[in-house]
Amino acid sequence: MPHLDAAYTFARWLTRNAHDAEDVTHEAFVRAMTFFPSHQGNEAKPWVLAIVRNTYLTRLQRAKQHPTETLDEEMHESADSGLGMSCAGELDSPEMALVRKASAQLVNRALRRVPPDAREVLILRELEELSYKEIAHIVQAPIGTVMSRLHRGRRLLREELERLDEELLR
Amino acid sequence: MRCGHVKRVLDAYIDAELSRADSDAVTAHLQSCDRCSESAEELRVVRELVRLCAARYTGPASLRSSMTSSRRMPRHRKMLTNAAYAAALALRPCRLVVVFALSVTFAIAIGVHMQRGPTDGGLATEVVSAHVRAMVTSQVAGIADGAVSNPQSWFLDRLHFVPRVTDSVSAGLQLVGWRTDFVAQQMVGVLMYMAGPHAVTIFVWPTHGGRRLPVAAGKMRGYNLVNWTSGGLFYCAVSDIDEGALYRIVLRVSGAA
Repeated sequence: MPHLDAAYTFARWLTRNAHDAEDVTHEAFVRAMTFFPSHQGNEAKPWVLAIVRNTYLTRLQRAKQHPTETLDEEMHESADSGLGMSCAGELDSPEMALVRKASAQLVNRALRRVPPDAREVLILRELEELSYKEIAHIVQAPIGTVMSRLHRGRRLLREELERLDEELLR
Repeated sequence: MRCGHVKRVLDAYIDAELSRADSDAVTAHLQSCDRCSESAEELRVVRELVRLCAARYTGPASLRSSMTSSRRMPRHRKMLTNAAYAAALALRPCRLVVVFALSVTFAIAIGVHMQRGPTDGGLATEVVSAHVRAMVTSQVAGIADGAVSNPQSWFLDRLHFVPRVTDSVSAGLQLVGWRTDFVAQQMVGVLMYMAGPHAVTIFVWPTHGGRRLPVAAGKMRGYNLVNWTSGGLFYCAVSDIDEGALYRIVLRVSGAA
């Protein structure tokens, strides 16, 4: 299943919980495979991510019209998000692994505090390494907007990291 | 190119999204402008932090299996599929063709490898670390600089923590320089001493609430290491000097003596 992990990762960052991410990813792939079963290979990734995003937004709209549905961006901050994750690196001593895990938790916590429009651009750029043009297509905004969101996202992230670090040291 | 303009395009510059001409102009500006250089370094660090530390997920098994077997699909998903089929049939005459102009560099391959697991991660980690390290170790300050007389204020401008070492060291041990570095995927502060003919380097980074470590020592490839924790910071001293001498230096430098 090509790009499943990338799609699911993006869905996790959009929906902020595993259950909704799974639903969004599944629905997105059904649409993708139904409409364009011939799309394969690396060129498909930005396109798959665009469908994931559109699926997420559609469900959000639907949830607003039918309040019984549970998709709600703010309420579903997953309790386990970030746990078990650590910064990429080789196997090392227990102390180093601890330091690395703490860094990952810090970064992820800070990332979650960045506003959604800037955060999704950051994720698409740094995790999926998409070009500005590809990101602009996925988020359906001009390249200039993508650039300013990315700039704002990185700046805000740095501020959040410093703030969180201060809190920890206190 | 002026600072104001450089600031606006700095993200695009480090993301390699600028035209060749614009990129060269920024490079030229950075060579002579310390402030913009620092901003660029900070941007790169933030970028690498996200790249290395942001959570990546693997699609759960339940998701994979539900995609391949429609019989296990829950009812609402099946309804969606049927609706999608009907829509697809209606849309077929005006099928969309999506074309992306890709300028994909194969640094991406390294990123993909890093997600694969520990066996593939070693080389990728080293390569990325060396890359980041080259960017953050370009500036070395020291006593010889004249204008900068103590490392604390220099670190304050560059890191979000400040290594604490005693100023008074006796003859035989001299602080000759300091810099930042990238170790274990973190920005660290580095203090460089000379004890006679021996170089002693101390790496410092925040413990982030990790447990306090007792003074620990180790040996690796002919070098001695001594670690300690103090004030929320982790210190690691490395030198080829003999173990006993390194211990005495650590006691002096950490203010414990």
